[in-house]
Formats: sequence, structure tokens, C-alpha cells
Amino acid sequence: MSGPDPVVQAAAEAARRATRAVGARVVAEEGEQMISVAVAGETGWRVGETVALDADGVGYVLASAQPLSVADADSPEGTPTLCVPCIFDGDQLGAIELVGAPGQDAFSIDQTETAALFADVAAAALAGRAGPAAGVPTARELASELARLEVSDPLRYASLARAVNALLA
Amino acid sequence: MSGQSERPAYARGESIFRPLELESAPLQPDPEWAWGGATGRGVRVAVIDSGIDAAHPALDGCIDAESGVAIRLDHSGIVTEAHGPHEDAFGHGTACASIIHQIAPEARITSVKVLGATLGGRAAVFLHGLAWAIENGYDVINLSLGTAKRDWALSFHELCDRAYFRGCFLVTAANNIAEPSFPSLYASVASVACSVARDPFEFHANPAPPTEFLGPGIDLEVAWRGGGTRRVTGNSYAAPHIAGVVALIRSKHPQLRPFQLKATLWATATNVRAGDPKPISSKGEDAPLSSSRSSSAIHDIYWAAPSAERKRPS
Repeated sequence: MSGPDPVVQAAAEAARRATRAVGARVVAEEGEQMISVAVAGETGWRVGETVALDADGVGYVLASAQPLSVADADSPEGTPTLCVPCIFDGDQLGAIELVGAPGQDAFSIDQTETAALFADVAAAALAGRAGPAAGVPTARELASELARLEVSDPLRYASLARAVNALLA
Repeated sequence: MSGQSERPAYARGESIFRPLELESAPLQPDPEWAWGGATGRGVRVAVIDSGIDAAHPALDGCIDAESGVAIRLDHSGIVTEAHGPHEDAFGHGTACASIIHQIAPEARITSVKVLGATLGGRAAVFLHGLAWAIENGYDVINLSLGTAKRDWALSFHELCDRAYFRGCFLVTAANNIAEPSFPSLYASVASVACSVARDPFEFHANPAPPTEFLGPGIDLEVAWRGGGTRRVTGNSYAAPHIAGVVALIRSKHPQLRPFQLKATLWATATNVRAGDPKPISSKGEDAPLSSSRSSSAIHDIYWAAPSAERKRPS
């Protein structure tokens, strides 16, 4: 197995330093899975490991394409996390996840915007990995939308839906 | 004369022509008129998000779990709806619901879960969830999420217009990063970014759209899944503040249309009432948080400026 992409790795390290985080990782979407593709700093994360879809921070960010800064309000020794999406040409390809020291304040807006700059760099590198198909709606997304339009606006879309279905048949 | 022939052609059908239900309203509504004494009673709010932890003690049973729906896209492109109670995949939806409940304690909140089931097909699932909430006639719909995919911009535009004409008030969070996101860029929604305000009722009008309002969203303590609490920051948490205020206004003035609700929000915004042209932003400065690359032209202020300082539109 080859090592992490050097640009993605550099973006993870730079984001960690710029936000004064303890650790950082870049998580990329691969099919229906999230894979850790670069790791920096002192964490238990490893390159190549699968990240759970319902992971508190990075899972939400990958699902919503919005950054998330969270600190545990129930425990003063909890570790704050900051996750920022990696978006290239409108398509979400992954996220940078940063973790602070125990008891540290939540990451700020300024740190979020700083991390977003490095996420842009990582996104460009991830787009190179993903190839030219990145950003194009999948066939099942298009089929779903066409089915919805056929019902909600049959005057305009029913004949189109019939034509597309005939081509697909 | 009020003969049918004098109506515009598109208004002649009896099914679409109805007399207006007018209510006396002040020229410049204040908070007392807008929501004084209101609790949100009778108002249905849909939260389109990651699900809601309905049993969370901070929500006091305000979640109508039976009416909830979880939406996902299967591998053949079929969108499926699972009706009834469901979990919060991340905690984000619970946080948004808790903010709305804090402001409008008697509003009934329904979870429309569109995040968390799978990674693929997110925009299609989100779109279906929004369509579901509009078809079911929710009074207020909170969208603390969006999509950056331009391929879906037209579909979202069509749906947001439908919501507007049906009287559903859409509140969306502006993108937290400097990228366009849909549907927060449309005129038919109220787009919200976060400010440093702490009072849940302190919100500001931004005279440089598409982000039109700023609400509290910095370092807030909110409910989270599993009965916990988190400290959070972002536009996601500003939007439900505005959704909560709109729920109050709707409970007191159920006949108001979306444009009237937006005008009421503008008139009752803290900076407008104070005659201060500069809204307070996430950094305490006079610009919203990265609402879009073209929306921070704060110097072109007209609406919120005191009359003596108003610039004439060119």
C-alpha cells in the first residue's frame, strides 16, 4: 500500500499547526466508506483506517458539507474538535478533523476559517485522486430527482421521464 | 366593482381567488406586537437535519416523534421514507431543536432526518426531505444545512418557491465557509449567519443579502444526542434562533405570509430598532460570517441606516 498523498499530508500538518491543534487527519470518501488518508500530530489515528459513518464530528461534516466546532460541555477535561469539509468545484470529497488538548476551549471562528484554507488545498489534491467524475451527480441521484419531478410536475417532466426510462430499459 | 372579469386572468379560477384576511398592523412592528405573550402554541416546526433525540430532557417532550420521518436513498435510486420515531445520527438536529424550543416552548417540532444514513445521494435525500415538509404544510422549516452542488440549484429553487407560495417559512443557515450553498442564496428563504449576541432574542438584519439576518451562534451550550450537552459555534445554531422567533410570530399572527414574516423580522431586528446601520457579526465587526463571496458589501447600506445617513439607491 502506498503512503499518504504528500499534498494531503502537508495540508493536514499545516492545518494542525495553524490552529494549534494536538492532532489532525484528513478523511476521504471512498464509495460508501470514509477512510483516513493522512494523519498529523499526537493522536491514535492511523492512515488507512475506516471512520464510522456516525462519528460525532467528521460524520456530520461529511454528511452536511458544513464545518463543525464542538466541545464537550459536560466534562471540563473533554477534547474540543473541529471538522472542516474539503470541497472542490462544489463537490464534497472529504474533511479535515482537528482535535485540541483536553480542557482546551472550543476552536474559534478564526481557526475554522484558517482550517478551511488548508481544506481547500487538501480538496484539490483529493480531486486529483478521485478523477474527472467527481462532482457529477450519480445515476441513482438523477433517477431519484426525475422520479420526483415526474410526480410533482407531470406536465413538464412525464414525457422526459418516459424517454429516459425507455433509454435505460 | 368586483366582477370576475376584472380579475387578472390567472386569478379567475374560484379555487385560487380568495378574499384577503387583513389585520391591522403597525407601520413598524415592535417585538411586543410581533411576539409579545406568544409561546409558539399551535405552530408546527420541521427540523430537517440528522434526526432529534426526542427523549432529551432539555426538549421537555416538545418533539412530535410519531410524525417524524427518516429519509434515505437506496442503491437503485429509490427514495424511501420511514415514518415514526428515529435516532439522531450526530447530535446536530437535537441541538437545533433545543434552540427552537428554548425560544418557542409550546411549538411542536417534527424531525425530518436526511443526514447520517449513508454518504451517497445526500442532495437528493435533502431535497426529498424538504419537499416532504412543504407538502405536509409545516409553518416553519429549519434548514441548518445546504448543498454546494450546483447541479441541484434549480430543483431547490423550485421547491423554495413552492414553500413561499404555500406559506411555509424557510429558515436556512448561510454557508460557514466562503462557498455558495443552496438554498441559502434564494430570496424565498431567510438566510442566517451567526453573531456574537448572547440574548436569544437579539438578532440583526444584514443590509447586504443574500444573508439577511444574524443570530446568536458563537460558543453556545446546546443539547446533544444521548442526553448530553455541547459547546458549539456556527451558522447552524443561528438559524434555529430565527426559526424560533418566527414560530412565536406565527403563533400570534397565523395569517401572515412569508414576506410579511420577513418584514416583521426586519422591523424587530435589534440594529434596525436602534437605528444602527451596522449589524453585529460573528467577530463583532460589521460583516457577516462568510455568507457568500459576494454578500459582504456592507458599505452599500441603505435599509438599516438612520434616515439622515441613507444613501439613495442608484
